[in-house]
Amino acid sequence: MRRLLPTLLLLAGGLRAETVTRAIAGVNGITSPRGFFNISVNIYRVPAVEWMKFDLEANRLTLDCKPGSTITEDELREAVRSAMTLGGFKPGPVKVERVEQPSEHPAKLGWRKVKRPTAKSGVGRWFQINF
Amino acid sequence: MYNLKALIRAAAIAGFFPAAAAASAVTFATSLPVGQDQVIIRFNMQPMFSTHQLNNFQFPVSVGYGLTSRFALFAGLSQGFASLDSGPYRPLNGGAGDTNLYARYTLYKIDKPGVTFRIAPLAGAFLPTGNNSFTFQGKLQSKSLQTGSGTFDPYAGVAVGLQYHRISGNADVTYRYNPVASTNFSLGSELRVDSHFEYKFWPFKMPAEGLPRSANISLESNYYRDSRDHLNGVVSPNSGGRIFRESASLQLSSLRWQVGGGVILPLMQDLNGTGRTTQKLGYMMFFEYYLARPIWRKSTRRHT
Repeated sequence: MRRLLPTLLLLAGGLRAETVTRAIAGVNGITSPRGFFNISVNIYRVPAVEWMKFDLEANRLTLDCKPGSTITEDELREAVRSAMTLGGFKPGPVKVERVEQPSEHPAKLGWRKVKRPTAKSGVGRWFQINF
Repeated sequence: MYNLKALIRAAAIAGFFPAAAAASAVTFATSLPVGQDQVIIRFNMQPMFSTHQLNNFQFPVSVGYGLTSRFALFAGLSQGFASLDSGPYRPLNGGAGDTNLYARYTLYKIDKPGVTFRIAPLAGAFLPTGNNSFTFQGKLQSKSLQTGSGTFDPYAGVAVGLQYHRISGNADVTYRYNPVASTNFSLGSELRVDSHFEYKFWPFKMPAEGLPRSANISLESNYYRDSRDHLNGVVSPNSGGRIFRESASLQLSSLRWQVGGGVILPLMQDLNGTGRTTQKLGYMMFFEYYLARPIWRKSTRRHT
């Protein structure tokens, strides 16, 4: 009984823990923040992605999808490759995995929330995304 | 007597500042990386001071738009004013300069982790939106007081860039062909060679994670070889020549913007004719902002 209770509690907690889809991509040719901006412009167009993280030194891009997102691994992989190509850079390898939803996405570590404009007009959406 | 002096003085400064009255930024924009659906806008301020009390203040704006990942469109909008401030008369002229429109195609590129190399030819034209008929005391003025060439000027070149995390270098060679206009001021054709070297000195140690703001030291060299100008269809002997300038600037950059400022030093001014006005010192400041394109393509909104 002493062992069963903690085990059941752990299992219950594990079942409750929500997971998100994460894509980790190697980037080629990016040497400055501006290069990541070129990619981020195209990440905005993938509604499933909620958080993005740029690691300049590691040449790495990490994307976390919204909890409950219906995007498939292949679709996410293709969307990430497309964002890098459209940004003007050669896509690196993309790894997609399910991870436990992080409690926070610290800005210090390079996380940025993808802006989702809510304005009805195109001009309003453009201002929300850019300023 | 004054008119003669003014004419001599005006002729002496002909060909001065290849980028002053009619062209765009001192920090050349031909190597700017622009991704698809991205807009870059760069505001420049360039005060330049010279002999003969010629003061020139230019405020060019450069805009780049990525039509595709390889094909980008650029516009160079120039405006400003210049004045001669010696003697009892002080001619002053300003307004919009010629507008430079060109397209750039990345013909060859190598992308590897932490390094990129590009070769991109470009072609376009300068549209005659400036004024080439400014007169003072009834005399047609020359290059430094005109804001335009008066003609549709084809423009072509090639830009090259090699960039690493810490250091980067860019260069370009461009040529602006200026047809001779039969009336008013006519700018001489211009060959321009630019190079740029940049060292990212801050952060001293790049963090393993994240995208830190950075500070760079930038050195830029500009070489101009100008043909002689024409005044009312007649070649101006005191115009054209070769100029080599070196610029040093400090720049700060982040994900969305870059800001910088520095000095421009003329190292060589081999000018045709006699008594030409020469540049003493210039400054440059710029602010650059990156934008997503105004309208998204709806077809890409698939996954939720």
